Amino acid sequence: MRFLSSSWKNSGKFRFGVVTLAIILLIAIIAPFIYRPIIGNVSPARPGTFRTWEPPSARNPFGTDGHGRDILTDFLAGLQSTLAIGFIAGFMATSFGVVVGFVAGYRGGRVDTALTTFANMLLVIPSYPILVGLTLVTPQKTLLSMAFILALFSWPFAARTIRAQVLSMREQPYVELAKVSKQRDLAIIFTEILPNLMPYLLMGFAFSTVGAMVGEVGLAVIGLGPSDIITLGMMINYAQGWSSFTRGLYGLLLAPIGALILIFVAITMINRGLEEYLNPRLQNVTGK
Amino acid sequence: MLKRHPLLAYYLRKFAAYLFTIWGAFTITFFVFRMLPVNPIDSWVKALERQYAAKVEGGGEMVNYYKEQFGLNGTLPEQYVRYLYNVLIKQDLGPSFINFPTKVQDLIAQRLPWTVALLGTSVVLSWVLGLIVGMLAGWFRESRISGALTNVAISLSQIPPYLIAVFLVLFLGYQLRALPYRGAWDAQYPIGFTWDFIRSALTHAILPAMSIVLVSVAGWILSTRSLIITILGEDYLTYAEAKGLKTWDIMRRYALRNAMLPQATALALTLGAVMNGTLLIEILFVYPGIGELLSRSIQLFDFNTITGVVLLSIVSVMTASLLVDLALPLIDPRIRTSIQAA
Repeated sequence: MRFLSSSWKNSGKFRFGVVTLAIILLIAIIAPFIYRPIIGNVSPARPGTFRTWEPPSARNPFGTDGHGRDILTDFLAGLQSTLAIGFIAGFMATSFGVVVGFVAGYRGGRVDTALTTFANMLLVIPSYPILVGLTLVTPQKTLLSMAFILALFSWPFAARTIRAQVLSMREQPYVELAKVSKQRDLAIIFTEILPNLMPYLLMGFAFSTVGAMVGEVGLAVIGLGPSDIITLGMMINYAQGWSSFTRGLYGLLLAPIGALILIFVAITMINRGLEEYLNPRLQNVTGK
Repeated sequence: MLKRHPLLAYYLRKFAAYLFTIWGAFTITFFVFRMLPVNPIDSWVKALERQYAAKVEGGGEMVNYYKEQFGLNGTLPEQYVRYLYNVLIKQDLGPSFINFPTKVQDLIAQRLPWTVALLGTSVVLSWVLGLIVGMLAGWFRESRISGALTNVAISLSQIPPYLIAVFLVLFLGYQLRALPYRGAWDAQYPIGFTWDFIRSALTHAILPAMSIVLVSVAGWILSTRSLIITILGEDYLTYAEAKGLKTWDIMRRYALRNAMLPQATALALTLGAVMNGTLLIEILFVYPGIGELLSRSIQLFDFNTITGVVLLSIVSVMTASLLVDLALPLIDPRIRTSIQAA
């Protein structure tokens, strides 16, 4: 894990990203302690807890929405579920991408050609219409089923990156040495290749996570969110449909957009820090 | 013969991959959509029955008739073969469901100019801006402004354009009423080469174009900047500077010129992908382009329109990348040599 400490030491972007993301995650974790006192012991998604369209007050700092829910609670619960969908989908896509990328890169030959061609086909299909179609016919839209649908079309990105790295690593002297000393393939993969791939894995995970969150928000803003929870994308959908601005309920729109932008910026900064570690040319050290 | 003409072999291989990828991507989309557990015609006839609170006379026959019209009769493989036959031999994408009996190709032809005009302009505009700003940011990379600009660009480049669009709609459109944010022109002016129509179309395009440009210009700035920084390390630039050439000339003729090839390639690929990924912008601004057509057709499971639009998108992305593959060896002698050596 040397790349983590090195990135932390050398890159201000990486530090900024990690600290910002840590704060957001902390808010998401302690969210129940903030919204439980406001709404009591009911589901945050339950309508009719308060009167609709209450302006901001001491009890409801951002006011209440058109279903009579506290907007601060909407936001905190939405932050939790959006992050969860993003990370779960990112994890699924990366795991699958790693397996495919490894098999393609390590085996080479026909297997590689077949897998790469298939991944390339998926990459040129516009995925959003298919996501919308799949979501429209999914009867029970839960957090897990949404994450699964979002992961379906984002694994080829991870697979492509991992394959390229495995291809170049396969030729490295230390891997050849391991091969000559008759180590088993699995042992080589786990002890020689995987540790060196960690920064790329982390970057792939970050990209798929951002991609999944963008996709989730994209589906939710046209009204295709999960049915039993609130997400940040659904808040944006409510804000547009309910003309929240004329009612003075700015939080309904500004809070989710602000939080999403912060999450995206934080993850992008972490990625830039990792890139600078992998490609020192990007560090501001050369030239004038 | 192919052994003696490696360039020809390269072209043939690229072209074969082009056709095969289009076929594969199309086939996957075709089956994914038609395997969805929905029955658009049945639900349409049922809706009619509910509307008139009566059984539609000959409902079963009507369903069969329309299934035939839309090419939804028979098994999936039969539908697939028939669709391919219609597209390839008869150049017919079939009638649309959302606007029956208008053919899908006619619907696309009506919508395409709007999407191409809006997105084409935004993409080219952000490319030019990004190239200039990116070059300056690379050249003056030690300055504070350049550093701040780079950080802003890094942040902007990963934000989905529709988040910015929602913002712009609410502030500039809704609150300040400064700019129109619905539709592509004022319906009171007929489409034509009149000043009123052109002005109305332009003002309607400002907000959607702005939301796209803000994000994509950031990406171009970043890529140009890192290309320029790499190039600035080369010896011929030190030499050019030692010769006492004007800074502006070095930037334009030595640095930017070498960054042009990768950036022009990327521009071609981006233009090919213009159909994909701006659906939400068009929905949000009720802009009568391809994306808005696609979103309406998905909601009604209008398979012919969905398949037609997706096919168009796949073909344009693949064609752009094929053109780049074919043009690169002609433009760049280094690539030509590497193909011939292989």
